[in-house]
Amino acid sequence: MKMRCDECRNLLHELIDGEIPAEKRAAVERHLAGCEACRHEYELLKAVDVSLSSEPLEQPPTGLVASVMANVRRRSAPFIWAELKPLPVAIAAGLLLAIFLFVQPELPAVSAPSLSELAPIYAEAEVSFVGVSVDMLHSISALKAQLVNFITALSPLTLVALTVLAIGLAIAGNLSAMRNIKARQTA
Amino acid sequence: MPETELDRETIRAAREGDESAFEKIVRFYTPTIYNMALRMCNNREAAQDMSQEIFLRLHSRLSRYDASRPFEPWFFTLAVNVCRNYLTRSRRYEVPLSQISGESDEGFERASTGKTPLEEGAESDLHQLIRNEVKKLPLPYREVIVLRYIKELSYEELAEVLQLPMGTVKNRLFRAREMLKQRLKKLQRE
Repeated sequence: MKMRCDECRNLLHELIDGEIPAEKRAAVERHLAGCEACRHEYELLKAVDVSLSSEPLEQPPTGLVASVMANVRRRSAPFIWAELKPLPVAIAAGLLLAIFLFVQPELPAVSAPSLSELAPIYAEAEVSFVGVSVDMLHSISALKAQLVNFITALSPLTLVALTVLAIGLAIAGNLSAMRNIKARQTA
Repeated sequence: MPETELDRETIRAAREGDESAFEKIVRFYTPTIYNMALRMCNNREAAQDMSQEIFLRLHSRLSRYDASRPFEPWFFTLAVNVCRNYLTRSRRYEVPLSQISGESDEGFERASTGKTPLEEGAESDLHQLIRNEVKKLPLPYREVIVLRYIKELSYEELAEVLQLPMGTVKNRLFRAREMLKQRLKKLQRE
């Protein structure tokens, strides 16, 4: 049976893409041989196809790969604190906090309040949420009092010496991590 | 999809965090990715930005790639998604190269075609015309045309990369080419 023009034109794309079934291909080619209008359509489509497939690739800008890789390195570098060893840093930070507390003007010695003193305060503040008992709050207050008393008992010189020592340890303990970070930044 | 020259070992190493293996992937795909982006947006600056985004996204998503499946369809699906997002955000880049002040081919080498300057002149006019017409196609048609011709993907591969039914892909490809053909026809009459 002879193929109609509309049927032929629907199959022209598949013919051009090389994805037409063999039996249809023969029918389309026969139709094209005898139909000038469809042949013209085919030639126009073919010109579009050839132009698209033969367009040369443009050379990417020099430095694009290097720029991509620099961004990749920058993004994949872990945050500085992810590389630092936590213990020396924590000791140094603790001692700095101690100095801060120590230099408060005339810090009085603190005694832990008794349960009887605390109870009305918490009752007034309506502290009644689940899991926080008055006992626990009392323990925290007692711990805080002990810490402040301990710090005030130390001489300023001892505190400064301990802090310098802790900061020194923190730096020494993290030298290799800092070198790694610097090397990545340079790269 | 044409067989990749990148061996699976390189992709596996990059997936496990080997930076030099990842750089090998970037070097290998940069020409294709840059040209794909360029044909999508027709602007060199935007094409560079898009290429950057594609490779950065690849770097952050590579650990999720299922190594038992082919790499290229997965990677090009990711690349197309980045291009879609970029173009949706940056409509200002939709300007033909020829109309951008200061834009010239200087500093951008073209691969040698082995044609005479006269042949190249006629061809480059047609290329320029088609390139500008491709840029005017709606994005769903443009991406199917760009992928089809830059990667020589079959209908089935296009459907896989674009994550669309094959019928939709064929329909979009045919309609895109019809639009370009109509434009060429009109020019022939003028």
